[in-house]
Amino acid sequence: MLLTLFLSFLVLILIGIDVGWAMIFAAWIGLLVKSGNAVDAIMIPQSMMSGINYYSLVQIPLFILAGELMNRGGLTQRLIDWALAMVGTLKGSLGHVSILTNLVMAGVSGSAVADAVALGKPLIPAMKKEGYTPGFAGAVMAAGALLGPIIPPSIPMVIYAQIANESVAKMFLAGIVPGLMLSAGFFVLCTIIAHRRDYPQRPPVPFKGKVNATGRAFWALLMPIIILVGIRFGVVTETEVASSAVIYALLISMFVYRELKWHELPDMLKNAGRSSATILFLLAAAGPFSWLVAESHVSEVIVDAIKSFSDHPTVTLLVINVALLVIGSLLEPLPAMVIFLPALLPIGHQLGIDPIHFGAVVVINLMIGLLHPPVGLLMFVVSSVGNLKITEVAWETLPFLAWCLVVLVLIIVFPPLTIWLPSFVG
Amino acid sequence: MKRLFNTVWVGVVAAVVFGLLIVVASQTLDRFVSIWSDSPEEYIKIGLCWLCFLGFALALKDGTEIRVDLADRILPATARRWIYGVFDVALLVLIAVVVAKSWTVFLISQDQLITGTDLTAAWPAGAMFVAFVLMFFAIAWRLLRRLRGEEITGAHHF
Repeated sequence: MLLTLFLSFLVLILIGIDVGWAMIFAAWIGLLVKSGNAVDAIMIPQSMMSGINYYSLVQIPLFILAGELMNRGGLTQRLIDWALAMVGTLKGSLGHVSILTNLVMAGVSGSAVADAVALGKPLIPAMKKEGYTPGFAGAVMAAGALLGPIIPPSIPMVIYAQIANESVAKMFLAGIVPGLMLSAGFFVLCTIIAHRRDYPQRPPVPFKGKVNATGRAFWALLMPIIILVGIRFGVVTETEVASSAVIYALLISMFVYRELKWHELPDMLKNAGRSSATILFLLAAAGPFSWLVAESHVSEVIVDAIKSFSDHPTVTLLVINVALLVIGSLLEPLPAMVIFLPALLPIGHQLGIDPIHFGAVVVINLMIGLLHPPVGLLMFVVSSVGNLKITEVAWETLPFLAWCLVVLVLIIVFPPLTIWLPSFVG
Repeated sequence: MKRLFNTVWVGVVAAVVFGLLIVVASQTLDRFVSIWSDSPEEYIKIGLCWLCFLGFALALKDGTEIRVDLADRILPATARRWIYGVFDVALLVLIAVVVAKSWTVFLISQDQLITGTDLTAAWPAGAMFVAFVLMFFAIAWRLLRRLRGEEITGAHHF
């Protein structure tokens, strides 16, 4: 039954069927071929409803709406201008600008693809115009956008926290150090590549110009700080912080920058609703699928197989990560989390691995899948946004991918990198 | 008529997002000024249910659902049209089954009160029923367009 379930699912997603429907369809086939007591198909709608019956999931539409507001309200453009003023004089400055802007945007939006689209549209053509190879332009944008779901707030972290019954605030904080390590490495890589290829740099911006750019972007720069402070000091709950981010972005866009008009709001609400519904539907669709996976007791088989390698937590975590890298290269991160976490969580629990550390490792690992073929979605997105060849982007992504793997190994071997900051939250 | 229906559908999705924003924001205020006597968390869960199913039906109609578009790049157009056409037929059968079952869930849940509210569980269950009916027609329309020879693509990734 399980083999039928996974094979039908894999075939359906590879031929291009919507991932949510592929899961429901595979579950339906699984139900039909299931041996033993027959299960009524009423299980499908019932488990779908259970899959989204979680209060904290409300953060998904709200953070997506905050991102929409930032893009249309002029906050994103001001962040790009600020980053240009700050790092424009470095060789290959637009690469650095991509990373820096993505880093700040990551502190607000939580969605890698939303960031890649918002920043890729102005920056990839600008890089091509200044003589950067198209592949590098796409690769640096994809790598920068990867920071979105790792630096808080992060939609995958919310989903992990929901499945593992952990604190969203702790999960958010667990992503900060690895996110900063990734961005530092990306900066170094940009510098090395820019010097080798003699990429251009912008004329120096005088100190006054930098102060002016910072002043113009001040309210946008304040946004991630407000979110982090809000979560860290418990001013608002981790769910309420999402609504605070929306209201803040709305007020700044309308009354400070005055770039957003009232009549634009319904369209933004519709876009945010439709985008978040596609994510929520994935979680709902995973309900019947996960039910059948649990019914087959496959988690016990996986636990035994992984534990047969070693009983040492670090070695086991490394083995799990190899498996996740393979899974992440075939599946999108969110479905992969929803399908496999229920089977993997008990292993971490049995070996005494901190669930926050485990969660951070799993999320970062699966996000790396966004950067490499065959399902490297960020590559597809930047290729589409910048009109680039996927093969060129894939090739240029390799150094960034290598650094991601180094960071992954570092956080596996040194758990304090992920659990130190969350330890300050009660 | 079609335009009015579409406007109402889009309007409901946008209104649910706005409603969720207001309810979550009101929880912060609720610490200082008493606003809620019921449980806002339960209303949010009902709102999420409507957003999920109705919003996804909208995404399906607009062709912006999450899918891996590898096949679009590899398979020839005729093969794609055949594969997707056959899948649409199978999907219609599946949705018909789910519509029937979600109607049963809706009927059963009319007697189940959601703790902390005056509402029954039929409210979230109704969202599923309505959305699956809409999805049935959206898929049927898509199939019709395929049979006419139209190329339907479009992927939305996260």
